[in-house]
Amino acid sequence: MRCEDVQNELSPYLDGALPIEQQKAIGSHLEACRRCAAHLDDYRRIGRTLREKVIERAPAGLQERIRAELEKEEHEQSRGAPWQSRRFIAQAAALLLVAGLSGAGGWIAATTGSRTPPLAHDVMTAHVRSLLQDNLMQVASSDQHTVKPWFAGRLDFAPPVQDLATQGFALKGGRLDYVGSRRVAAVIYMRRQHVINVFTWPSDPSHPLPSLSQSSNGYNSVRWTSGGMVYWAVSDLNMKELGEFQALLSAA
Amino acid sequence: MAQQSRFEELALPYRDAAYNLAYWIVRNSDDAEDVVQDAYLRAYRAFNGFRGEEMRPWLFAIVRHCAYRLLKVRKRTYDLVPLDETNSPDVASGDPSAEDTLVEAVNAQHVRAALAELPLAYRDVVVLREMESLSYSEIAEITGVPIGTVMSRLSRGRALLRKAMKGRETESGSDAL
Repeated sequence: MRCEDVQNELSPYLDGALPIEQQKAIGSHLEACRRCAAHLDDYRRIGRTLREKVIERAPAGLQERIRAELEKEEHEQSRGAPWQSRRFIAQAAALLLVAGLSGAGGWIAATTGSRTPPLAHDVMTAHVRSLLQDNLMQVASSDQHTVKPWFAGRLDFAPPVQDLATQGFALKGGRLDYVGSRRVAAVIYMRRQHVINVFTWPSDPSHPLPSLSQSSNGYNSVRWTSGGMVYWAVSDLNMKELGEFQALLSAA
Repeated sequence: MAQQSRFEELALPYRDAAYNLAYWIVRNSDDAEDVVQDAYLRAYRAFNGFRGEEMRPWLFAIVRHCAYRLLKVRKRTYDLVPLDETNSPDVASGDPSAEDTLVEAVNAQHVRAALAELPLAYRDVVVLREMESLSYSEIAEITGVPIGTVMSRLSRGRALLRKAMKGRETESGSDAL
């Protein structure tokens, strides 16, 4: 292949979007041609910089403002015949309660204080969401040598991935997810028909997370820290087997 | 209420990503925030029609639509698809510096500036692919163009970014990070 033709196809090549023969042909050209390989490397590094350093984060409080908008919308929708609507009454009561609190700080404290801690909530939500939609896996493979490199270009850390199929926990694949306003790795394992999501991210030495195991809404979860990484496994699997899984992962 | 909390549970985790997409279309933080709030409200109103398909492309299509609408309302000049899109994307050739590799560490400020200057039709495709890791078919769904067009816009967008980076590096010597 000519360099010019190769370079014009590097973008889809990078995404694995070309027919297999073409992927192969470009792959072998790249092994032989340093110039084209360097070109591809530029694309990789620009992509990585975009993901890691150029991404914009929502300003603080956006979530609360969105929630407030939705609340208002709900309220307006039920204005048709408010006295007939039980929901309206409940909301009116809630609004009165909110109005009685002093300012937004009080409101935020009231809405977040009594619930599940935000991080645990994020983890649970990410697990449930992964089951509801068809996005359980972005890379589906039982081979740790396929799953690991998939994460390499997408995260600034390398989540440990292990195949524990012989111990009855089959590796299924991986996915990116959001927990605690950051990108985390989700590695998926199966025990019989039970999906286990293992969320992993580097631990913050200034905020160490204690180990914990807990149940909520029919899901069990265990969290531990090892080798500078936080692991948080969530599943509808029983706590005993989830504990065995934790032991296997942290032993390996 | 159940409806609202289900919506929040599915849609709110994407607020950062939605904001990032909006930001890179409108290129300013106040407008981006307005766009995201507007989009979430619209998404919520349409949520009855949501049948459990994937939340992210569905939500992003709404965010993108709101962002483009804002640009239109503001009558800002925005660069839609340039005429040469259908020509062969032979951006690799012709540029004398194109043979050099970028210096080891890519300067984030330069990438940021290069992305901001990328024509919109390429910019949102690049954001969706490079930053949000969406598939070609998801991007096609969000932007309402065929997969082949997604592929060629992404090709061109990446090539333009690389070219701009090279220009910037030559200008400033190699004071990259």
